[in-house]
Amino acid sequence: MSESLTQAGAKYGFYFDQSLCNGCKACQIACKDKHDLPLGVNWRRVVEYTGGSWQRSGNTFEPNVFSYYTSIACNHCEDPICMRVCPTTAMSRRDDGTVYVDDSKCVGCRYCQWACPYGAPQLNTETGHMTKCDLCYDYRESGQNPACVDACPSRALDFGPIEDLREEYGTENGVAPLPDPSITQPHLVINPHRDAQAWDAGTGHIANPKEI
Amino acid sequence: MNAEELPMILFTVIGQMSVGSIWILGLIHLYGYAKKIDRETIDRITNAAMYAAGPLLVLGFFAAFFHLGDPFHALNTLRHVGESWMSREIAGGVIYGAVGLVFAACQWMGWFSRGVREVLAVLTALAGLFLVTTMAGTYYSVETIPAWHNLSVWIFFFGSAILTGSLAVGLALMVTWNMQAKRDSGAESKLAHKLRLISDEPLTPELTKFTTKSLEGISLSAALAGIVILVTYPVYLVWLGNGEQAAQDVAHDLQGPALVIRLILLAIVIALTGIFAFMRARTSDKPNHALAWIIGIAFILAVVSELLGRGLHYEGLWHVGLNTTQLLLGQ
Repeated sequence: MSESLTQAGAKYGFYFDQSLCNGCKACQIACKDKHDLPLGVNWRRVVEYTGGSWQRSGNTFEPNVFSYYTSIACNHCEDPICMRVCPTTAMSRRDDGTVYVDDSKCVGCRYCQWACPYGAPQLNTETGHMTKCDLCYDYRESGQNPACVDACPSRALDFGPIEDLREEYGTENGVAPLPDPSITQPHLVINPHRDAQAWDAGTGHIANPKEI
Repeated sequence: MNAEELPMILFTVIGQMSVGSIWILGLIHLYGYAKKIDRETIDRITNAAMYAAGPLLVLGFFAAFFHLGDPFHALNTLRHVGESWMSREIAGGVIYGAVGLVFAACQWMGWFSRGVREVLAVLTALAGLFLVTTMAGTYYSVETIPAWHNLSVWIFFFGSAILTGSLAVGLALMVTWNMQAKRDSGAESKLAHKLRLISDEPLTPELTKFTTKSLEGISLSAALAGIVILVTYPVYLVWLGNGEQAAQDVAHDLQGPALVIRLILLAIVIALTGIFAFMRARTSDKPNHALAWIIGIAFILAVVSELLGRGLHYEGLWHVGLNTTQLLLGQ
């Protein structure tokens, strides 16, 4: 591999093309398989957001509904709330900007899980430690892409230094049901679905809460 | 109810009771000084309560350990006091426990002068203030959780400390007073003597007066704290119900028997302390069963109500953005 994918200061993040995603969850399964995650732990999850109302056209009312998917893992935020609240400093950042759990420090108190508005940190009950997406650090070290990125059949996922992603794909990162991006400044760029709702529009609801 | 958060429910309720007891004891001492009552006399009636506050905190800490996924890494939780409120909370608990232990040991063994011990007592009360502040901060500071990121957490936590702390001290005063009266009538309990709950000097009118006056004050402070908590609820719930989606979800989840029972119990405690205990303490010139029962029942109901209320507090664990099933299951 000619190019290192763990460059210091790169601030890696994800790109997600919402207009391409069909909710197949191949990314989620690839992640679960790659990291051998136990039952109940899903570093990458696919959220279905749906809503709608009636629209009047002439003398009739027609349904105007929407439904779209958001594949989400950890956004390796610029201002990670998980690192702020962690009492042990186990939640740490690598030189390349990715956030990971230092197993030698974590006490498994779940405070990061309480705070993260993306649901990224999750407890592995077998080890008693928190776990989360590290953007497949070992894969990147050997020049490979993260498992989820390569698994997507629609090619809806990409990753890279956040500035490169923003240059190529824009700066959208506040699509519902994701939270206000100003809270943590996620390293995430989304190409929104044509029906995408703003994070604060409150027009829909999560249709698959038990799957995320 | 959030049974999986039981360790945290017990830690916060019991920890706050311990701190509240220390504050109330401090106020009783100040009242005694103001009335120029002999300091040994004050100690006689308040020692039992003071020695109860320490084990309470230890009990709370013991419960908190069950919240940790990996208790062997517990010491790491002190690494981030600069930014993490949870780190500060644990530091607060350790400091309060340590200062309190030193104070209690000095008081028991009679080490150092009275002045030094009084300084230690003040330090214990201040460490307690730090502990309850950091406890509330741990929840309040999480800006992604609307049910916690508002003033109500502070009111509920400090209110709980005053409410349960007052009644715990009240109960301890009743026990001391009753035991002493029993001893004076010839039925001395050896254990009580060993624990220094009673002394060889019989009850004096001065001591009785001081005890009943303290009980009056305790009844009022408990009732007042209860009223503040009770009044906060409707304001808090309306605010949640009209808030952002995550807040509305919590308001929806709070509906149910637990909330109703919690509020009814609180109302009963307010009536018991603010009216019955207060009146009875005013008119008592010797220890009596009626007053003991009123304070005892009020204490138990207050603790049950606070445990329920703290369970409801953890129903608020619902943040903006995405909530995972793992969070729901508390796995």
